[in-house]
Amino acid sequence: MNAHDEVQRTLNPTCTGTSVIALQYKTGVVVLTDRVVSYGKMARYKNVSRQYKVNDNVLIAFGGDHADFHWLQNVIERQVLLWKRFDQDIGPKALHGYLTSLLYAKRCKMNPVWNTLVVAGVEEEEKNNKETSTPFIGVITQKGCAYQVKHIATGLGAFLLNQAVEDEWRKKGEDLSREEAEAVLRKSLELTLYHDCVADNEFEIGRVDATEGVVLGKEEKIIGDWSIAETNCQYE
Amino acid sequence: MSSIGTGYDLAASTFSPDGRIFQVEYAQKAVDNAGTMIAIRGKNGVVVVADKLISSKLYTDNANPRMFNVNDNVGVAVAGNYPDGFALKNYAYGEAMKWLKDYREPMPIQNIANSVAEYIHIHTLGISRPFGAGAFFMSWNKQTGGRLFLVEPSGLNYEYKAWAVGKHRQAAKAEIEKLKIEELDVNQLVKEAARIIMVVRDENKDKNVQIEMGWVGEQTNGKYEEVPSEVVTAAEEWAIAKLDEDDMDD
Repeated sequence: MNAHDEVQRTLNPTCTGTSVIALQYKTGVVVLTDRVVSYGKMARYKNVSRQYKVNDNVLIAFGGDHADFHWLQNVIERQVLLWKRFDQDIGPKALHGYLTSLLYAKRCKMNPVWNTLVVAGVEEEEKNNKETSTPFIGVITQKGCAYQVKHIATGLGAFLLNQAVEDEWRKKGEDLSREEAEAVLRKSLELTLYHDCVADNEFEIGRVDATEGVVLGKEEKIIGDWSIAETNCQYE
Repeated sequence: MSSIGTGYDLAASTFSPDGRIFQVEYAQKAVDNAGTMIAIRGKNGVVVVADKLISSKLYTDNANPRMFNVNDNVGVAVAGNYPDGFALKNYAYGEAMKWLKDYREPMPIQNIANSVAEYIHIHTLGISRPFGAGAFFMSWNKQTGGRLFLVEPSGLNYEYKAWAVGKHRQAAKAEIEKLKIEELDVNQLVKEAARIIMVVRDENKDKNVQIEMGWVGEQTNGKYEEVPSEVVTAAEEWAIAKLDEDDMDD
């Protein structure tokens, strides 16, 4: 193709998901996503998961374009098969690295994958040694900017929640239990529900645990407290 | 040997006057002279067993395996020239990967066997050397039950209930026919297959051999797997005991 040829690309995502919230606890990682697909600001489809189990050690959650993620899912599936050819299961760190390169390469071609990815997992070697086991959370933005964290909120949650999640995490740090971590996530979702118009009250909490492996969450629901709404002068 | 081809065996691109392609037949010999390999479809799965010649004590355990996964559900076992077989397995692997990319689902066994057969067949047209290897493909699932294919160096691709290739294939096939394989469960098949491999061995010539096994069935949840070494050892012990017992009867 000639460098001066016009190229038409997708300039906007269509069917999207919003925030992903993930938090490390003592022996694993918990990940929360809501279960709505938005078409612009309309809640177009309900009961759709935004979490994908790669294998027993790795779970991926995403925000952004659903179609792009479906494409990524296929790319990941093939990568998993490629690793199996050498009798190996891909780990969270390796997959995070691979996806970082992929998303960066795509954005350099001016054709980014419209997703924010959260790769959660536990390395197989570390699973057997509880002493050195460090649960992994890696984030990748659609521009290929990647980093590792102990807790994260993406999408609008990045503006609303990071401080709240960090405060909670700091109280216990590495000793946070799974129940406590999940409580933080539920509280966080409640906050996005109040402030993010495309967030939904139906959600799921998946986890990767050093002993249990990947456990996908069940559908849950919160109502929240809407009494304050009456003080909003535009509220009918 | 010099009179065999009488000038018509110099390339796979030449037919002999009576319509044979000698180069392809020679390629088949590479499989025929290799260690025996048998595959049997039973009641709830498929088992494949190879008799492997261990040409040096310096090899690590199970060096140069003959059985592989094409994807989670389909296994391949190659017999004959090892590098040729290895290349076939890699080709099957690439095809399965392409299928996964295009259709987003695992490649069915029939399509894998067909595409490998087509690839092998192209190599019998005289453009380059034919493959000196054959490949068994096997799978099992609830809907279709067990399936077993063999692709030969000529590009021939048949589905079988059971088959044997390699050195002692005739004797092995005769042994298989004595069994009611449709009624045998995978765990019994493993034992019987080990027994057959051992009974067809030529005690004077076949030394330093090792049994390698793969299976797919209900008990592996439709996934093709290498048979665990404990199970192989147990099957061998059972086979030895059974053979001794038969000797006593005689």
